[in-house]
Amino acid sequence: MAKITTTLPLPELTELPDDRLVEMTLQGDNQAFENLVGRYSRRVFAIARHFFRQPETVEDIAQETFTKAYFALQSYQRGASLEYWLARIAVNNCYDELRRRKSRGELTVSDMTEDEVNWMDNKLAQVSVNRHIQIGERQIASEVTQKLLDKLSAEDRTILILLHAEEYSVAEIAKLIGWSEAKVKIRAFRARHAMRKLLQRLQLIEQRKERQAAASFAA
Amino acid sequence: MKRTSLKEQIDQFAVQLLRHHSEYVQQETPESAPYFMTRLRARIAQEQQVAQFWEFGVISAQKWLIALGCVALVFFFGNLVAIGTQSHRLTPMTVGSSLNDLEDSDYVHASEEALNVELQKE
Repeated sequence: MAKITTTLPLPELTELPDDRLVEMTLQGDNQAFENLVGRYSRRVFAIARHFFRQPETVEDIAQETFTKAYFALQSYQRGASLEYWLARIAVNNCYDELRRRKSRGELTVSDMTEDEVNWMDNKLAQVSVNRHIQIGERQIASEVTQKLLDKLSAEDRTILILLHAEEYSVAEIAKLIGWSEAKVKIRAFRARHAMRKLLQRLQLIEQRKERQAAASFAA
Repeated sequence: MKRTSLKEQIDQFAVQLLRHHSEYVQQETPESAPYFMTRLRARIAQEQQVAQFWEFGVISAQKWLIALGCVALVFFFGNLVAIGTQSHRLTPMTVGSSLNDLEDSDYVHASEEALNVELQKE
């Protein structure tokens, strides 16, 4: 990558299909690879951003994904989706990073900001009346989701993100992470259970706080 | 029944949270980080250097292994030749002649002479 060589001017490169750019990269045209990076960096960043909040970690995952892709381009099957191939590398990098960290602290309300606690309090109280999250609340929903996901194991977190955030099918997830479909289904069931327990615990904490507040008010 | 429906509602809420998180991420994620390409180029160059170092190490090790293998082969065939010549002496055809040689040998004569001297003394 030290020496940049290109056989075609940039505007022409952007019009070429992925497979042609892959071939050019393999022949030593680094400008072609940079073009591929430009095409799919947003997708790779979005996958990493689903898993991690810190921008440094997100960038590190993206760098690792493209570096691995650069050295493994020979194994990419022409005609297959390059986006899916890169997504597979990115998801596996995220999963490995999660497993490396293995940080699974107990959930406490103090982990969340006051706004987030109030928002969750409000939402959990409305769960029984089946109210939906508004579009304007996306940012806070995202922050809260990240904090909830932080409390789950690497497997549970990966499965929930791939199923409900990335919206991959069970078969696709099985291919992405290299698990059997049965394992993906079992893991998904366990992950949903873990997430439900987390939310129920928050709900209980809030109910207890409300009861205490009501008791002190009555006294 | 009520408990089950509450469970389902919490599950639906969790799914909603994840979908909103995803939509927010898709919306907010930039094309890439500033100077991302520069850092990526540097990282690939670094990885290439490491790969070249290991490649050099592996090639050197291969050369050493080939050289050691050649030396080992020379010793092996040398030993084979030596064993071949020794086994030629000890083939069944030569065992009898070897025993005859032993009977005629100086060692046997010397020991017989020593025995005779001792017998004469007695």
